[in-house]
Amino acid sequence: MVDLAAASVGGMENFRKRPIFTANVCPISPLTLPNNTCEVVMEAARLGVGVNVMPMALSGGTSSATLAGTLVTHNAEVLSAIVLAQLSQKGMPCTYASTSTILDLRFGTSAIGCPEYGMINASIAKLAQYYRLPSFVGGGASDSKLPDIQSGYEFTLSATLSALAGANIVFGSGALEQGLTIDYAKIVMDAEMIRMIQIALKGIEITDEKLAMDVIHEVGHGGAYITHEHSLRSMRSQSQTKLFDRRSRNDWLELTQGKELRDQAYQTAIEILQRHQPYALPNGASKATSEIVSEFEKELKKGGK
Amino acid sequence: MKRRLKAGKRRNSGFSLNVLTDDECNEIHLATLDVLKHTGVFVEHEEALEVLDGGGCLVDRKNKVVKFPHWVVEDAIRMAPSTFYAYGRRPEDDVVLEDNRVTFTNFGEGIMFVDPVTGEHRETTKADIIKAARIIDSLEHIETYERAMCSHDKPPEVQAIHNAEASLTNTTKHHWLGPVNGYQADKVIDICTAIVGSQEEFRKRPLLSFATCPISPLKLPGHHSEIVMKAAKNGMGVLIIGMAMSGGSSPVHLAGTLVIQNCEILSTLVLNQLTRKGSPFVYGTSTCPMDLRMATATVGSPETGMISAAVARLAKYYSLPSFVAGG
Repeated sequence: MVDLAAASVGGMENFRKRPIFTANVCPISPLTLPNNTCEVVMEAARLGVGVNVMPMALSGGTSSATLAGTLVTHNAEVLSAIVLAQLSQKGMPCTYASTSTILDLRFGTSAIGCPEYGMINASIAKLAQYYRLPSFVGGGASDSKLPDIQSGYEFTLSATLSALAGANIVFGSGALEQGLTIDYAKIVMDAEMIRMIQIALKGIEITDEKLAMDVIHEVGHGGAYITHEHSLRSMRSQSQTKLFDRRSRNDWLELTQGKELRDQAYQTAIEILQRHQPYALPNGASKATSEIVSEFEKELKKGGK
Repeated sequence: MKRRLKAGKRRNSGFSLNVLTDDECNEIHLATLDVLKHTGVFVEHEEALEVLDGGGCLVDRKNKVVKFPHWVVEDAIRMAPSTFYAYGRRPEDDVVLEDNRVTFTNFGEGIMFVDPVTGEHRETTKADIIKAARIIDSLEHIETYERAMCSHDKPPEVQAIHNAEASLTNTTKHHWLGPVNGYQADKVIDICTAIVGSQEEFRKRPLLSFATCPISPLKLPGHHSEIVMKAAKNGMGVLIIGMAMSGGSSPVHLAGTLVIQNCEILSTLVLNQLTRKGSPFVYGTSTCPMDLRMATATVGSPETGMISAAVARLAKYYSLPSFVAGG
């Protein structure tokens, strides 16, 4: 994978300068660093790649049924992997990650649309800050099988909690069914909601300029702000939707024929696929990457690793 | 292994949000006092003007503009109780509103309805209110009741009374209800009295509070003033819901919108407390931005949540119970 990444940035030297790929490793709860995790951590150290250590402790299944206890074993798993990483290569970039949640003991499923998912992952973001490590935590995944109302509710609660905790990366967009299923409409809808959450993160600026006292005194009682020059000048500071609908019912009906949000989101995904071209690879890179893949396949057939 | 007791430590008993600092609340408060003192509020009610005049406000009778010295506003804030008892028909329905205690209620008032049987989008009727009240009555986490819809099948002059009857007879939870005007307010009180048995009993445990809205910017219309005074005189609580529309009837910037809304609510509080000291009062908001591209009220926007969170914080700064939009 490092070879692939290096090929796509025009060589190993470029890759070492700006490694565009970080290795995800998952300890196994409780308290196990399996062979492949250790191997990837040590190999990453040799190659100058960072690691993202992501346990998925299941409170009540593979960790304590109490969230505090789950945070302890989760923390032990992450810190032990970081010890291995730092002993392999001092200063190696490590990200403190999590997708821990509860095991729903009634259904035997790892529930990731539950409030506990947001609560655990928001707490993990805080723990990472306590250790001064960058964080990568869950938020926004859903247990629903469809990109429906349940998935919207579940996205918003856990993604907002993790975001408000100051997580550096909140991951979960697009995930349905305990993360087993990915849905294009959900990715597109989640991206719209992410913009809204980011507006909320900005908070309300209380300054003389924003209090707009001169305008308030000028407009007085019963006057109109909508026609005031100040509103025209500041209107771009308002949040704007692309996908979510704020039109009047008549305008909405006329424009969409009453189509549901998720159908519009699928349409958006199709349009993106037709229109969007990712930034081109360096010359010769796509040939190099296919050679790496076919060589790897040959090695596998010969019974290599 | 022995794990002995630890010395005291700082704990979070739950998650919370940093919305506004004390300094920022103070800044909003002082800006509000400035507007109330220099620009004032339009008050469209003779008796209300009289009450405000007697309470130390400067009243311009001709233009119906009232200006509020700082001390009048700050006195009223101190007079109002920090705890609001939202009594239900039975003691087990009572809900205490104070400080950071969080409860949820339904939205009111919708004027249209999606018929669950036919899928038709149509005007709401008294029968719809009855069904909504029964559904809400059964939902544990909707702890108080706001009349969800309006009796469009009744003449406008008596709709509030029908709304009240449909609601009060179908849920035991505390009611937030807009009585539209003073006349209907009296009738609603009569219905409440009939349900609880006597006027005395209703005064002891008012199971209904009036909800009323100022008009932005900076106007207390006649019916609003009348309802606010009537609630105080009858020992009832009143919920004041600020309805500024950021970019439409208040500044685009949320800071300025919070000031406009604060002026409207605090001036109403002065009228309420001057009518009867210590009257139960709830600081409310249903303010949202006006999307200036679509010209619609965007109750689903992130700003609506941000304004509501700020209002909850401001109410706490004033030690007043709060009632804010969200959902």
